[in-house]
Amino acid sequence: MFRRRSVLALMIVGVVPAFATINGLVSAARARREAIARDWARRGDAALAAGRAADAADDFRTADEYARDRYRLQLAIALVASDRPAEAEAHLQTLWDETPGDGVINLQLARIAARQQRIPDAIRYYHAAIDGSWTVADPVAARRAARLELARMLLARGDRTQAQVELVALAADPPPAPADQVQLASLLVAAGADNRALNLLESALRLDPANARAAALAGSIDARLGDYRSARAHLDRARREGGLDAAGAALLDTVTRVLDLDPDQRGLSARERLRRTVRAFEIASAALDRCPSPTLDAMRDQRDRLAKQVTTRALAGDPDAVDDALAFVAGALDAARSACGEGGGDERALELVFDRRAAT
Amino acid sequence: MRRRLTLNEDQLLLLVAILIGVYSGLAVVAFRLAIEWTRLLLFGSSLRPPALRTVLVPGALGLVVAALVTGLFPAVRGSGVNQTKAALYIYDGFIAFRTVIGKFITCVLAIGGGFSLGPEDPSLQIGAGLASAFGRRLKLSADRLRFIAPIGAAAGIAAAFNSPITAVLFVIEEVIGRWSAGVLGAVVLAAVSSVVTEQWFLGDEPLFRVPPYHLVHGAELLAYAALGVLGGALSILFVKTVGALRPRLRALPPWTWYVQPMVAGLLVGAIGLRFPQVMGAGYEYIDQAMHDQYGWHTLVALCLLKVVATTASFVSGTPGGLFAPTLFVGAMLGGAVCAIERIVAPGLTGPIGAYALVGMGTLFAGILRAPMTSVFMIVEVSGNYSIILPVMISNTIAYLLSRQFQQHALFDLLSRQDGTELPSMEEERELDVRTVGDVMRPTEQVARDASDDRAYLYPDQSIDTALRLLDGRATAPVVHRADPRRIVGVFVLEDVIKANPLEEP
Repeated sequence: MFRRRSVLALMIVGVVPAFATINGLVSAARARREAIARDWARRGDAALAAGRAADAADDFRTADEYARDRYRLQLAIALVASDRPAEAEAHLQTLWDETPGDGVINLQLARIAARQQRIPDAIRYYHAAIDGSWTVADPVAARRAARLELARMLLARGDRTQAQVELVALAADPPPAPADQVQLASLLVAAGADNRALNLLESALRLDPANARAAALAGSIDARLGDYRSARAHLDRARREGGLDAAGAALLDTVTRVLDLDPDQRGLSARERLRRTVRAFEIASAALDRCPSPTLDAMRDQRDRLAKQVTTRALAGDPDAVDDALAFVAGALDAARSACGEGGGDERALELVFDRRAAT
Repeated sequence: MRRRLTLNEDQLLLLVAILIGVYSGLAVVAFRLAIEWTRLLLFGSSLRPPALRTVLVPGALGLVVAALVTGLFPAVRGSGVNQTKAALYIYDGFIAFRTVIGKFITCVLAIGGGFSLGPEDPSLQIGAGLASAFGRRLKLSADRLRFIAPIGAAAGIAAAFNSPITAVLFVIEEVIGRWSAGVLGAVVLAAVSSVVTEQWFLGDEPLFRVPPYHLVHGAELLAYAALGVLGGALSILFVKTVGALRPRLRALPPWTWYVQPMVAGLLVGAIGLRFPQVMGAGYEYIDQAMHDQYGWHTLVALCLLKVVATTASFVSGTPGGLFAPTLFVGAMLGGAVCAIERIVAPGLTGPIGAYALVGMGTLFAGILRAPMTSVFMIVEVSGNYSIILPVMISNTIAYLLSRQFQQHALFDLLSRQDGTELPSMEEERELDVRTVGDVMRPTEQVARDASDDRAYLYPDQSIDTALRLLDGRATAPVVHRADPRRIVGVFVLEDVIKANPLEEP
């Protein structure tokens, strides 16, 4: 009995040194695993930065093997980058199961779902990413970037209404950097929210008056909205800052012509209005002459009949003749464009004038 | 008056069971660390080691392990499950401590060196060996000592799987064979204390990181049934191949016993050049299969090549376990079924992790033929009860197929080949127990006299129980369960003896 007690006591006491020994071994093993995992993760980061996503995935997989689950997210990101969405999604789903509110995980899942055309899933994950928790330095920027990405995806699919909802939410609390505001404004334009885009661009221009891109975009929106004075001011500003491309320059030319030719412009003297009417008649007449199509013969006959009446002196005494002349101009430009295609700068400018006239 | 704290034999067994669990847990942690260190030392940290090492290391270690097994530790050959059963049924709980040491060293070298074997069955034997050593030192009674090995086995396997329920069920189902209240408490305590110890050091993370599971459509169960059929077929193939090759290789001249593990190692290494996943226990690759990292063709290749590598490793006499390879093959097979189903019926396929998990249980049921353990193991390692339906369907099919076309379960087959007549738990489970009702002489139903105080029997009692209750008398009345005053027959000892004559020795 005494011997049994001694053996039992020895067994109980022996647990302590046994625990201490194994603890030392486990600590050493853990430290070694950590070091190996860090080493492989560094290789993975380098490979990913160098665009070798497949190698990065292998490296992160090895790292994850030694530091259980620590590098799984990086592995998933590398798998997404190496176009292996199914593998990435399986890892991400496991991570999501553990932390369903994580912004990064939801964003990656959203990207995979979008790539696989599972749009409802993608939208759900994007929203979870936007509302989720982010452990990055600037979570607000990360959320904004996720929403921007969602809006881009929706625009790419032609869902302008849903995209506008997301972009309007972004515009309500716009990014502080003017460049980001311009980027957001361009998406708002693509989503058909011109006025909100214009407000945002004005804000960007207040912060950075030399922002040529903002001025050019604002000018194009102004022109589309028919505010040619503002359009010319914005486009001029863009040109001065050296940020006007060929299309912008052409638009500036058109806008300038509109402002020079528009007989309905506010603030014009009666004489100037008549002069512009006569000038419009001359441009329409030239449009009929450049187009030899026989379908325009009737228009040319009408032009010949009206020609004597469309002078500044004749029109001054007959206000109704002004309206007749401008109605003829609109019809002639339309007919010439239908028969022979787009005309020169003045013709296009006048067409814009008459389009707006028709709209009002 | 000063009272001394004394423990009776039962209480002592429970206390010892806890200690066995703690020490087994520590031993298993050390075992796992040793395997990992050996692997890192021999192959480096990359999951895809250099080609020359991949081929040469298993071959060279095969030679070393063969020398150790043949020269120093002949009892460590094989997986360890049958040795534990032999300790219970033949050697009165005795497992030499030298075997524990030998098992530890040779398995660390073999598994760390890339042989396609697992650490669970050796952990079971290490636990059983430790328990046996403790029991002998404590001079436990012969009856207690006999059951000490299964208690240690439960502790060893619980720590290896990080799953106490699986361990308890496996030991009850495959080693002890019955639910004995006297041992069950000790087995449970040992398993729990072992898992607690293991988790103290290695954390409480489950063995596998299982992706979320859901049944996509009821028709998906057909795919799980197909998995059961394929798993059953593969189990039969594996057991029959092992059963056919093992005795032939053992029958070769003894000098070849040194060479066989080397040849097996070279074969495993050659496979490892293209598919390094088949080397070692392969848990990390099971995890990858569960997370959709392989296409169907890779999964099929891994499944078949693992069968080849494991068969070669095991029949060559290299010590190591079959649990991990079984789970590996099952996971790959399950993954392949899922990947193919995705092509055939893309809308009806659930996550691949679920198929891999069910596949593991299926192969476990088909090869090891421990149906209860196979079901609860999957539920326990997945932590997901909802997966039980496909697991039950697939496991049952594989189990029934295996029984139909393969007479003996793997461990029974191995013990027969070794010339050790260990009881087959499967056969014992299905033993037709005769009852009092089967042998009694029916009578006209009469009321028992109120003054009759003789012991009486019930028709549903076993004959064993009846003989105990008879207490030397030649007859006893058999009464109705619902009304003990109503006699329905007479149990006559002579009838039992006539029906079961003693065999001539």
